[in-house]
Amino acid sequence: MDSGLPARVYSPDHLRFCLEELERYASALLRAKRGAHGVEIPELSRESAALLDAGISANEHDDPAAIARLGQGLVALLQSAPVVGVVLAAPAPMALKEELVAWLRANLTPTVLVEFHVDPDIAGGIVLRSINTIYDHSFRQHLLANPERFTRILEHV
Amino acid sequence: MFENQAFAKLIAEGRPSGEIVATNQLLITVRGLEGVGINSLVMFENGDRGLVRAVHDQMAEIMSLSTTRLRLGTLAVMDQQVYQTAVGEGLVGRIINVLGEPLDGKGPVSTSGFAPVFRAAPGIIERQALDTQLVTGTAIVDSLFPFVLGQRMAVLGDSKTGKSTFLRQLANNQTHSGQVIVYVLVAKRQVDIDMLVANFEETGAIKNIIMVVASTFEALSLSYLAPYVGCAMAEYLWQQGKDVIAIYDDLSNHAKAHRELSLLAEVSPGRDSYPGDMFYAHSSLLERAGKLSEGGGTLSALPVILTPSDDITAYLPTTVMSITDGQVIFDLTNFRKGVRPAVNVGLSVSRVGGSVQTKAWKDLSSALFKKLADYRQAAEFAQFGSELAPDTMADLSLGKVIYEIYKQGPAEIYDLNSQYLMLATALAGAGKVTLNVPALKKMAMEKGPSMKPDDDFAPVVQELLKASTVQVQA
Repeated sequence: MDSGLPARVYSPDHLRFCLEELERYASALLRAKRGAHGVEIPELSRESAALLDAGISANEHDDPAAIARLGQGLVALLQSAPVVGVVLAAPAPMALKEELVAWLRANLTPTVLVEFHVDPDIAGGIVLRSINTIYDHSFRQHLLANPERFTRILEHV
Repeated sequence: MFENQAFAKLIAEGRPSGEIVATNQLLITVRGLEGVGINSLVMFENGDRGLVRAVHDQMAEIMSLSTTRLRLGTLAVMDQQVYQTAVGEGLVGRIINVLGEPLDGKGPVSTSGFAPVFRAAPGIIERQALDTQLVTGTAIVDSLFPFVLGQRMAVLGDSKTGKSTFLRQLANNQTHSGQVIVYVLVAKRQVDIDMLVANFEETGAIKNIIMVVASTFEALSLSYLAPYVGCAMAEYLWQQGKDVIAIYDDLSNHAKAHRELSLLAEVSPGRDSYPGDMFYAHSSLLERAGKLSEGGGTLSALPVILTPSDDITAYLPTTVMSITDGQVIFDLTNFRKGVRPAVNVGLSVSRVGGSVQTKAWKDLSSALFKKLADYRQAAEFAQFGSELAPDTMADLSLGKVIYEIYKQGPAEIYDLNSQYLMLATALAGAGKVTLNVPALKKMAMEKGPSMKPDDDFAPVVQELLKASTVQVQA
């Protein structure tokens, strides 16, 4: 997963879901290979399929061992990858989330995971939280930092 | 900001929202959505809807109402705190899907408001005893197992035994009665739906019918919801003082949908892999029927249950029979013998039917039951091929005539008076004369509609007996 995670998989929750799905998928493949009757290979979600494409070569997609190795790598990634919390004033549409994730992956690290939160109290702007740092670019923060500037603006309204 | 305007509006209103973190085609897990409860309706970013099935600490488990597989990260917002459906008299004569969208191409549906899809049944104080017969137009049912307005009557049978044909006859017979039929089709093939609609349009019965359709190609969750949605629509009209008949065709498909959804949600399976709340799912639906003390409206519930290989002791038939006030069982053996409607007289029962019959009808019914029992016994003796006593021969002959009268084509509907005349004439013949049954039916159909229930039928019966007796030349 050195090339980075697919854009569709951006939060720890997504990664956990994909891990579970890939585990079920690999297990079904294994049972089918052993000749078990009535094994139904589950259909993968687009997110898990993207992980499979990014993580292993196309000829290994039906190889349970290769998928298991990918799973181990993803577990390690889940434990070590930095998680950035993004707080917005309102729920963000998918396009905006994708844009923010792409920016963070291009400017921080390709394996960064992002958790989106909504807090109407920030009134606007964005708050980024990493493990020990908060970048508060919210409208509330600007107001608190420069209340006189806001007063001046209001005087000219 | 959001492409779907309805979704954007809900977000702008500040409704609770969340993000999809896991999806399993039908079941979706959403993180967030604080404040939603079980049976809340949520809307997804693309406009699809879902119903909350379970609420955990930070997650809500949602049953998708569409077949689209949603992406992880897709937003969800609460649409309705408690799932409601559009109701009103404007729905009568329309064909709609579970979400209330018209399927008949007759333009938008006019509604009077919204009603909760899941609600508790009226209490005993709000109800009164049932007192009016629901005439199905089918002689074998009306004479032996009379339906009553407000009754819950299960219709059981194997596939292709004539259950739907019987229900179609029942619906067609209400065309001029002013009663409203809510016909719920659960997980049916499109070809079956089209045939039913075509029949109702041809007979004109469609103007009294609300058809709620969940086809087999739609999301499984819609099949699960369809009976409850239909019931909510029927309940609204019931509370307006109308007589409403809700036909759930069929609850076996509903149970299968509920089972699949429950298994997907990893609910512990019980008998036949059905979830533990299978009985509750059906009883909570069927208890929402009866007669109200205020307004006097009735809601009759007719659930259809499949009994593969005529096995009525399976889980679903027994549970539904224990909920309802009677059952009509359609028998594959009778069907193959050409007895159509293929009602099994020995196993069917109407637990409240007798209370609405007049004395004349009660006497006729008990005589018919006795004669049919004698016929079955005589038929067993006849198998040995030995010479039969004259009385046994008469029983055999009378039984055959009664069954000939009971044979009805899908388009044949008899009013109560005509049925009485036909059957009373057969009994008057006592199997000792040969009756021309088609001629008897024709004459009874001519005389019956003009008679009143209080009239003296005896002279007419004698007249019909004389006219329909076949003179055998020695």
